[in-house]
Amino acid sequence: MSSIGIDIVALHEVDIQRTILPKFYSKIITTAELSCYDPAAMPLYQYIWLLWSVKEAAYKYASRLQPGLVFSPTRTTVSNISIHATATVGHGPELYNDAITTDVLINGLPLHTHSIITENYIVSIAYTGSFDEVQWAVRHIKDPHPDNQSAMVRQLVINELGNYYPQANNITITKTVDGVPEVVCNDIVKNEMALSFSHHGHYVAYAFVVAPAA
Amino acid sequence: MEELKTILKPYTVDKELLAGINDNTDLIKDLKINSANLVDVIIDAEAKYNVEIDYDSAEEMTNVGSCIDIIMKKLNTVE
Repeated sequence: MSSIGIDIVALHEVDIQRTILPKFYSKIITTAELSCYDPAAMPLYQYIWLLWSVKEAAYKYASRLQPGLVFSPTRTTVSNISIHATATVGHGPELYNDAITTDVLINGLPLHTHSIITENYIVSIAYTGSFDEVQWAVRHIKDPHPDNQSAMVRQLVINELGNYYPQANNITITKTVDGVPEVVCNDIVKNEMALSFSHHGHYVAYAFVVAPAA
Repeated sequence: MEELKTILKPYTVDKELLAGINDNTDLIKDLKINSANLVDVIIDAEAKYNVEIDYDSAEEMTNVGSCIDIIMKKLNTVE
């Protein structure tokens, strides 16, 4: 079974002063991860939320394969955090200046992630195959109410799935009891269509696998 | 339960959802609290009750019942 995970953190929604308190970030990152922090690369609060989004994306990837998995930020370890001067990430919306790659270990499962930090958000995608197989996007929405976030991201992903899977009719998105999104076509769950989405504040994001792994 | 509501309220966009909470109410699925705010809930609970909620306990705080159980357990440990 293929899988994918995406997570977005809207930077205007986070409490910067609270984030940099040890009692706060110690529940998100480990001592080893803190020791890898480079102040020249980014502010500490961005580093904390970068690792949060990496770990959330990894959890979403893993929870499709391991139903019932509990999210534990400090037991999900991130290493090899590398910043690349210019890069595109899969079938992303545009060229960004900085893309950050990491290795993640979650419940025994090794994963790779790609992240992008803008002035408005941090978005991370976890995937084990080539990121050329990944279609993803971030959109700004006017109404940040959770019901609207959920409706908007579903509509966006259904529209985009229709472009990649023109043979798929009557697409809907459901969630498993563990909160893992599933693509349903004509009442049949398409497990081969790995999908993940995320929303925070005025931003929604989705990612799905264009060419499912064999 | 009422005290827990005051902790959850800042992170619950739809305040009306708080009126009907019970032990089984899931913080993310039912109250629609963003996962990025779960650490805020834990930190606020620690401050309100002057307890320390360790990593193992924190990851169990997924619904209202488990939040109350863990806070009560920590309070009893302190006493």
